[in-house]
Formats: sequence, structure tokens, C-alpha cells
Amino acid sequence: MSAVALTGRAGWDHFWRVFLIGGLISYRALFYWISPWQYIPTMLAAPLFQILFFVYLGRSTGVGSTSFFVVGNSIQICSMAGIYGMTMAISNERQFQTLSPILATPSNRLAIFLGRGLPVLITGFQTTCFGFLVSALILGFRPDPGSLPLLAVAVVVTAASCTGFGMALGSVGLRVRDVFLISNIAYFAVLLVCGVEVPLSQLPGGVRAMAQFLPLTHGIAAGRLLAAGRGGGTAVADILLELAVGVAWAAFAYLLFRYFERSGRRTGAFDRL
Amino acid sequence: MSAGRAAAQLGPPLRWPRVLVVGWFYQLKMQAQSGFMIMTALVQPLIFATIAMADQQAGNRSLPILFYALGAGIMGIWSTVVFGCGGVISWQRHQGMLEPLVMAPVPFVLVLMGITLGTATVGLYSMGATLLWAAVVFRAHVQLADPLAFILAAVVTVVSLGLLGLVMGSSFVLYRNSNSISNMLEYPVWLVTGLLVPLSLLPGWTHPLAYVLAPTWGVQALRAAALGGQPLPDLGWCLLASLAYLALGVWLVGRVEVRARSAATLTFQ
Amino acid sequence: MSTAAVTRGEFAIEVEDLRRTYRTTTGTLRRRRLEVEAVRGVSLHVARGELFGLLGPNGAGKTTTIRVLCTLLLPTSGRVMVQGLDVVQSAREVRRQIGYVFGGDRGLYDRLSALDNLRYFAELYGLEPRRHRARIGEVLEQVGLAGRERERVEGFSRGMRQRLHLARGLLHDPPVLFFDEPTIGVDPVGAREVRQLVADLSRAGKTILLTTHYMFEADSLCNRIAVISKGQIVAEGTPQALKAAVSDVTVVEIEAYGVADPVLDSMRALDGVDSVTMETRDQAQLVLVQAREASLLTGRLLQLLEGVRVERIGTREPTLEDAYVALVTAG
Repeated sequence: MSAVALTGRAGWDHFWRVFLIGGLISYRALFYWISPWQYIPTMLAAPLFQILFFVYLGRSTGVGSTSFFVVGNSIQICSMAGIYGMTMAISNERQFQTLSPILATPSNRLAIFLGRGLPVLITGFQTTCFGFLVSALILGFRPDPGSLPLLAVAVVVTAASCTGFGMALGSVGLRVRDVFLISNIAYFAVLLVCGVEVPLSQLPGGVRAMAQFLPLTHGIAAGRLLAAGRGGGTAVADILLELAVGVAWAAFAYLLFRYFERSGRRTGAFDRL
Repeated sequence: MSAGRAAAQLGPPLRWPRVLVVGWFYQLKMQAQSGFMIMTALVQPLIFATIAMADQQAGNRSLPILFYALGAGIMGIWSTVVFGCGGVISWQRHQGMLEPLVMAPVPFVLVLMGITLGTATVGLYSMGATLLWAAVVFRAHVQLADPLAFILAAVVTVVSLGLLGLVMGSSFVLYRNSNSISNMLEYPVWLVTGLLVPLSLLPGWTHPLAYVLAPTWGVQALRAAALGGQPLPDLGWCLLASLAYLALGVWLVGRVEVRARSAATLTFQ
Repeated sequence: MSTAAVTRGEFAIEVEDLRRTYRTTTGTLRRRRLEVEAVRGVSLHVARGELFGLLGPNGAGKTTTIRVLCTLLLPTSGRVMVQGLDVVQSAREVRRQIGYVFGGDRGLYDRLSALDNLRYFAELYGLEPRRHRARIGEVLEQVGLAGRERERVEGFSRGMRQRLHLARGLLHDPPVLFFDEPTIGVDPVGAREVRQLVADLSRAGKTILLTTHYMFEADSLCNRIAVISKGQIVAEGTPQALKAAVSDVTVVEIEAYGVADPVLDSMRALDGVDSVTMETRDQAQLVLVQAREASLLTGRLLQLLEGVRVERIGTREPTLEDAYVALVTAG
């Protein structure tokens, strides 16, 4: 594919194909742990029990309500796909040494990158919906019906911003060997700091400030307002903030990716494990 | 006469406790240096402890903050046991150690027990860390009502979890698909055994399940020893559970050995 | 074989008609069962104090046989006794009396020091606690690791790991030792030391069963050798006896370029030819023809090689290697 062909309408088609098809194929190649025996426990059962665990913690401590923890945890679950999925996607490429061959193609970097994110985003959205559904069945969770469409938007936006965050962590995986340690810590830190299990008002000022720049914080806040039927301006503002945070992280991730790619090409770091 | 042959071989009754303790010691030594273990035994429990204690401060404070620090500590021991013991046989096989260990003229179950007990003991890091965290970050007044009973309860809890780890390790090898279950064993057990939630708040039908799991009794004994109460009955139940795990473990490991020797699964072929 | 052992009628190792079949399944959707007979009726006897070699190519059944003897594997059928004890019924008693050295990169705790590894196994083998230090010191000295014992195994070279495996096998001073390819992957100097140690142990009266595919090793070390191929013993005897089996044979070595298989077949068809094998080295091929009255055959052989560039043709005496090749490629 010559550079000339990347311009104009032909170039745009190429962009979409690399984005969609390339993304899906690479997703299947890398997510070798997606067999039903592993998908169900990891992606469905574990999140379900997480929701139950924290709902009961709330009852034990007398904090929040069932809805507080259901919305918080269901939405947070999509970060699992975002964080682990993306970091695995990139670092596995490095481990299987397919990174260099891919980077050697003239395909648009952005398309490759974003293509990886799409299936992850969809998985995140799926697991969140599953969380809501099960909570409705078991815990009697009843979100305000009128707010459901906007709630869905909030979830998609949050899933996207988690994916962007995950991309940034994954980009670090181009250089650092033990990226899983970082993504593990990130996953737990997010649980603590973004108002998922602990009301933001309870956290020290500095931590609260930091949370504003992390994914999930605004999305969950919006989700909680919408579920309670107290949507409107504040909720929409939160959704937009979440979107902004997500785009910022994705942009940062892209820059990191290009930077590491350029310096990696110089130092030959891609195939060194 | 060579020194080796002159070195009398101790008879089984005297040897077995030594073999167990020495195995325990060396396993602990190895695990305590593992980065993954430190992550599981320290970082994760501290995060959960912080969440629970922060919520306690924000809520109605009906339960003392130490309640949650203790619970989070046991959560840590449980995670260590699930991840360290569930795959114990596979991990030994991966290191090429199954053959040397099976070839030793001691019951194989004794060797495995040393390994799972050593792994469970790493969980004491969690215990210490969450209590320290409570004292330093949350300014909790960490005073133990009955320190001796507390230490005893901690030891018995670790032993019972180590033995439960033996059961898990051997069953995961016998029933292959059970391995993927280990991914989802943390939250459910934390929840059902009432580590951060009093059993009275959980639906009654979960209680029988709680009663057969050692952490339920361990955490209650520790709470009684720390906050004031009667630790002995709970300790008794914990010991009873341990004996049951021991019996089950011995039987399961026997089956593992037979299967390994007849199907040649001691090594990667 | 010592006369004492013969008159006493006692063998350290007795194997009678050992058979071992593996059942494996292949495929994920349609699982098929495959039965592989790794060992098909092996019988051998090793007297006390003998150094016995088991020779054979990869996949011949050496590893399976030795693992049955070490109680790691159950035989499918047959009788296997070590020191008069049945390996199936009395596994633990057998384990007290045997030591084994399987070698390789794994099989040791990397995160512990050599000393800790030995201390742990000293405990597993029931050495009296007071004697641990002295005994560990002795074996470290014997294998040449004295002074390095406090280092972690993860930093050890292949040769050092092999020595540590040896040290562990010798800890409880067992009367019977099993070595599975003890010098494979070890540097030449280290390998020579391992062989020296094996010879010393044999001189000290230990019964040793050794598997290898190095001919010269078997030749120089062993009192007796058995050659195993495709799960069966195809020859057994002293190295001299095995060489004598091919004594009336001469080997014709032909170095040539571009020898095709049909040519080899027609060579085999010649009268008096026992076997024809070919090795490829870089571009050239080395054809080895074992035959009687080889001098009469060289003319016919050259005729068959018409059109092929022949670099060199010569005759020589057979070695144990040739005997081995002949035995292993037969059938």
C-alpha cells in the first residue's frame, strides 16, 4: 500500500478496514484466554460477586445504598476489559514478537491503535450491562426507566475512557517489562480512589483532586444520578467530563506509543524481552 | 563405614514432624521473596482494608474499625492460599520438582503440606500490614484484648488455611477444569465467610457453606481475641475444620500419586 | 560380574518382561485414543557392584525403563525388583535404597542456595540431624562444589547444576544409583569429572545403572551394556563381547557427494553386506557399509556409485559405535 493511496477516499476506506477487521483479528489472536471455561468465571461470575461483596460491605458499614454500590461496581467492571485488555494486547504483541512486523507495515498508526480498542470497549460495555441485569434480578436494583438511554451513554463513554486509560498503560508496556504489575496496581487504585466503593467526600482533598483526572470518577457520578432519576444538567456535565478525560488519556497514549515506537526503533527494544 | 550409612535414618514417627517443619520453613523462605506474592499479600489487602476502613468512618460506625482491619488481613491470607496453593502441584511440576519430591522416602502428602503451610504463612504479612495500616493511617487504637489468644488464633487460622490449600491444590490437579474456578474464588469466599460483613447480615442459606470454611471461624476467633469475647469455641471449630481438611487432603493426594505414577504426569513429557 | 554375586544369586536390579504402554488422546473435537508401547518386554539383571549401561537412541525406551526402576512410573506388566524389593508394592523402601541423577536445568529450587537445597533433601531422606552438616560437606567435596554452596542455584551454570544433582543423589549414600544421561549438556571438562566420579563410585562398591547415548562413555565405564531399541533389548553383554559380535565385519567408509537412496538400496542388496547407513555432513555424505570380506566388495560398491563424485574410500575396523548402529537400525 503506497503512501499515495493513503490519501483521499481510498485512504479513508483503508483506515476503516484496518480499524475494524485488523482490530477484530488481532483481538482473537491475543485473547487466547477467551474460552468459555475462562470467560464465564473471569468476565461474568467474578464481577457479579464483586458487586455482591461491596453491596454487603455497604450494609455492614451503613454507607451508601444498594444502588450506590451496584452502579459504582457495574460501571467499574468495564475498566477490567479496558485496563487488562489493552495492556495484554500490546505487551503480548511484544512477547510474541509480532510487534516489529506490525510496526513495519505502512498502515496508519492511529487505525491500528484504535482498532485494538474497539473490541475491548465492546467487551467492557457487555460486562457492565450484565452487572446491571443481574443486580436487577438478585438485588432488586431498579434504575429510573426514563434515564436508561442516557445511562447507556454514560456507560459507553466510561468504557471508552477506560479503554483510553488502558491504552496509556499498554503503551508503557512497550518499554517496561512487568506491565502487569502496573496494571494490577492501577486496577486496585482506581477501585479505591474514583468513588467506586468509597464516597468521594470521604477521601482526602488531594486524592479527590487526582480522581478528577482519572476515568470512572465522572462516569460513575453520572450513572448514580441517572439511576436515581436525578439526571439532567449535572449528569450530562459529568458525562462530558468523562469523555474529555477519556480523550485526553487516549491522546496521551497515542503520543506515548509514537514516542516509544520511535525510540524503540532506535534502541531495538521491541524484540528484547 | 561411610558417614552416610553411619547416619542412622530416623524412624517415621520422629521424622515426620521434622520433615513438615523444614519444608514449611524453606517454602516460606522462597515465597517471601516472590514479587507476585508480595503484591497479593500486601498491596491487594491494603487497598481493600483502606476501602473498608474509609467506609467505616463514613458510615454508622456500628462496628469498630479493627473489625475491618482484621477482616482485610484474612482476605489477604485467603488470596495467598488460593493463588499459591491452588496451583501448587502444577508449579512444582513446572520447576521439575515433582519427581525429586515423590522419590523421597516420605509420604508425599507431608511434602505438599509443608509447601501449602509455608504459603499460607506468607499471609501473615497481610495480617500485620492491615493492622499497622489501621494504626498509622486511620489512627485506630490497636489494642488486643487477649494477645496470647490472638497469636494462637492467628496460628490456627494459618494452619487451617494451609490445609485447605492442600485440598485445593490436589483437587485442582485431579479435576482439570477446576483450575479456572480459582479466578472466581476470592470474592465469593470473602463474602460468605463474613470477613467484612457479620454473618447475621447474610442470607441464612449461606451459613452452612460458611461453617465448613475455615476463615469463618478464624476471623471470629481473632475478633474475639482482639476486641474481647470468647475465642476458644471458634478456635475449636477451626481446629475441627482443619482435621477434616487434613483427612480429605491425605485421601486426595493419595489419588494424585496413583494417577501420576500410572499416567506418567510427573513431568512435562 | 563378581563370582560372589553369581554364587549368591543376588541381583541388585532384576527386571523381568517389563512392559509399559502409554495411553494418550489426540484432537480436541473427536478425541481418539492412542496406545503407545514404549517398553515391550525388557528383561535385565544387574549384579551388586556392577556398572551397567543402557544404550539406545532417543525414544527407545531408556527413560521409561529407568523411571519404572526409580518407582516414578508403574509398569503395565512385568516384575521389577530393586535390592530384592518390588518397586510397585514396596516403593518407599526402594526409595530409601536408591539415588538417582536425572540432570537437566530443572529439578532444583532456584531461589534457594545449593546448601539449602541439600539441607531440605537431607531432611526428606531422613539423615540424622546431627550428621547433616558433615555429610553435606562430604558430598559437596565429592562433586567439586565446596565453597559455592551458599550461592543461589539460579546463578548456576549447567555443569554446576549437574554437580548439585549428583550431590543430592549421593546424600543418603544409597547402595544403588541411577544416572540418566549424566553428561549431556555438560562441558567436556565437567563431563570428564562426572565420569571419573561415576567410576569412583563403582569402585567403592555401588551398583550403578547408567543410560547414555555416548558410545565411548559406555565403552570406558561399563562392566556390561544392554542396547535398547524400539522398546526392546537388542543386545546385551560386555563392551568387548558386543564389539566381537561385529569382529568379522569390516567397515567401508565412502565420502561422496550426491548419493541418492536407490543407490543405498542396491548396496544393501549386495551379497555379504550387513548394513548400509549414511550420514550427511555439510555438503558431503559419509556412507558406512558393514560387510564381510569388504575388500572384495569395494569394486562393486564403486560401480554402484558411477556418476557420483567420490572423494575418498577406505576400510577400517568396526568400533562399538558401529555395533550399536547395526543393532539399532536392524528391523
